[in-house]
Amino acid sequence: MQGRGFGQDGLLYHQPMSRKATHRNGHEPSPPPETPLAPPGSGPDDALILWMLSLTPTERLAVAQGFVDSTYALRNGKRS
Amino acid sequence: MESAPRYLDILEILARHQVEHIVVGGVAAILEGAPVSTFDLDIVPNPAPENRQRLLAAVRELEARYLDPAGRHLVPDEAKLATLRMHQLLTKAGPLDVLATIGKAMTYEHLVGRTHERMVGNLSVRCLDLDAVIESKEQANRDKDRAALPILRRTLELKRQRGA
Repeated sequence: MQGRGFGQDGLLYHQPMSRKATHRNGHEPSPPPETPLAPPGSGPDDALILWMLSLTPTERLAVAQGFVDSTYALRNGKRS
Repeated sequence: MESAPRYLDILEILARHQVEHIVVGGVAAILEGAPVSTFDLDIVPNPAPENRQRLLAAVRELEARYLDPAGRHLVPDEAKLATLRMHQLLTKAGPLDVLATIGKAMTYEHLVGRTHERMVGNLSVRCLDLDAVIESKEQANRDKDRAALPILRRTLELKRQRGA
């Protein structure tokens, strides 16, 4: 499955992520729905927003935490 | 080596010290369901003196120091917390911005009626509603705020359509 990633402008885009967000209790958020992807540059991605809205606040924070963990791992030259 | 922010760790310490605060900015937008990223946690604390004492205890436990371009080791104290409007802190759990106002002049008193409690793990977190996050970013009007606004507005539209 294609993953989701954040761009430098702080928005999430359809890009492979090196690591899935994981809860502290080991559970992973549900995967994004298999919906058609909006063409690049066509504005906000409804499928991505709807996926995020389907998560609990705990899961949403885990997604964000996974992203920053991956970014810092890359910045520090480590495998995430 | 700089370590990644750990949002939940900061929120847990604030909760342990019973700091009354509102989570605002990017983390509030994320908790409200917007797929955006952020690298710090922004809060607006209740400015009451007794809450300031609790906040001071929490930031001390977080080993907070000011983000200082000159590289000085400046730590928060009661006088700074009582007088400065913006505290850009580096903590052992990552960056934490403690703000007296957001947007143009939105204070804790202005904002608290536009919040909801969200359960994050075992924590009850008072989070700014998405429409107020959008309003604060419209008022702040920095490049990074303008960049995030389309997805925040669309998230709000979809939330309303879903009745969320």
